[in-house]
Amino acid sequence: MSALVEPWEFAFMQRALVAVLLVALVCGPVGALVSLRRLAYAGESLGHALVPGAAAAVALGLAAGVGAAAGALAAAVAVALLLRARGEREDVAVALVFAVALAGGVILLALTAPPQRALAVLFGDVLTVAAGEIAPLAVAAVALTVAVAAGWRSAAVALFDRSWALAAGVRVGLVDLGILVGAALALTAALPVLGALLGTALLIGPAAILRPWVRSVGPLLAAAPLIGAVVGAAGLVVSYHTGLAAGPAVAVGLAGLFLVSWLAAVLRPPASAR
Amino acid sequence: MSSADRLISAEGLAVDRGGARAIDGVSFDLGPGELVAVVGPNGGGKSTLLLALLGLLPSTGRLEVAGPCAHVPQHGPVDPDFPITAIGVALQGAAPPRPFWRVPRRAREAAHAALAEVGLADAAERPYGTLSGGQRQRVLMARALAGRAPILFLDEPFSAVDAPSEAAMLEAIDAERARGVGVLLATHDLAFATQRADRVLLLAGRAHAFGPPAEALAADRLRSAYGGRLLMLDDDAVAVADDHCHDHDHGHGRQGG
Repeated sequence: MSALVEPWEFAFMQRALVAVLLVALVCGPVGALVSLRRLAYAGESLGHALVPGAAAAVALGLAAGVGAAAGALAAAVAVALLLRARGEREDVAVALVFAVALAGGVILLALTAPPQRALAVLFGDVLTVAAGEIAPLAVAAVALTVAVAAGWRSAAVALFDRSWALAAGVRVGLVDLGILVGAALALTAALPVLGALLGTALLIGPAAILRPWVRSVGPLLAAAPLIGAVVGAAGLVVSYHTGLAAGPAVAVGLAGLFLVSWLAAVLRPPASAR
Repeated sequence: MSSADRLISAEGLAVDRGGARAIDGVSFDLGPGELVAVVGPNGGGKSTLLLALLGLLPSTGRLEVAGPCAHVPQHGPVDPDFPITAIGVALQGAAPPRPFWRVPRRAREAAHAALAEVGLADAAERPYGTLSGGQRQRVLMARALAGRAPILFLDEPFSAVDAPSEAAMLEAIDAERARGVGVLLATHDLAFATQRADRVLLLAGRAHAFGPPAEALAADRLRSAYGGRLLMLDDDAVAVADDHCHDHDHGHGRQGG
């Protein structure tokens, strides 16, 4: 039991826990909408778009999050325009553009940032989160929670049946844009915890874990942050005791829980037998 | 009935789709409580017409639609495993979503009533993905009925449903018509159009006929619309050899001339 309590005696672990909880709150509901819109791949690609912006900000001596947000928002708008132009299809162009963005960002980081800083941008370093970084996270958490609470019912109509939503007057293009912008902001918020490359795990993972066990969108949105928070906190404890990087520990924990959820869903008796 | 009483009045309607003219010069009208069947070959423009009437495709010509339209699409949602229950689907039709809006009790009652109308009152809490194809179609119909719109569009609603589901949907259609709802129903089933429709719009790129079934589905009109896919069975009886619903139409597609 003391193994679970001991880590939280240290201020840096307390800050890390608060950061992880806020990031889970930011990522869970938005990630559920990303997953329901079947944009998990585009969401993963948005993470790549954080890198050049973060690298440029680091090179200019600014906070990495400022540049990352700019890069991710630009990418979110680009993907939304592409969806509008090409309908449901994800495109080779998305993959190519984001791969080039990641490559450019990594080169910029290699040229301008020390290796430890570069690794933190790519994979996160939650144990070094400063007190001043908590406030912006809290603002993002409140803003995105309010936005999701305001728009999730319209989003659910659009995500379930696009043609019905269009006929009902729901602005499905705006729903797409809102989800992608939300994902961009959530991934930016996750940057200190999981970095640009692992943030998708906390975005998509909780919804994927819950999906076989929920009957409607509301509970999915409400429960996703709880899953992210529990796995995030567990990842911090594992990181504290083993010395493993916290970000990868959280990502692996989410992947493991997804595997358990998926297996349990496959093995559960069919609905008629329950 | 005067034109002012019409729920839909279209004259010279034309719709482009995919860079080509899909339908042209279509004129018809729909009155309260009336069932107009839209029949015609695949690619004839039935779905295109419904989409244009819903405002989802731009059209030219004169079109007057008196009031909101509900519709049951030919193809249901892309992801049948979407986390939503049958009552959740019906609720989407009961009232438009609004920010921070919780579904009011009246809308919830309307959604339950609509599910009961299609014979699925007991399945309200079942996930949509666990329902059979016919039940899903009935749930989508309940969604269309829940908003109590005065105009109802159905795009080939019976194409993939079993007999009990078809019977439940037909019963619901009759109940709506008795309430004064105008129904526009696209179908390949000529027998249905003959027996159930008040009037028939025979559509194959353009309107080949619009009027009572006996006139609109006369053999010469059908031959004009379907071309070589029309089979002469005896003196005046015909069947449509449709490549999309081959078996189905062979069973039902007789039209006494």
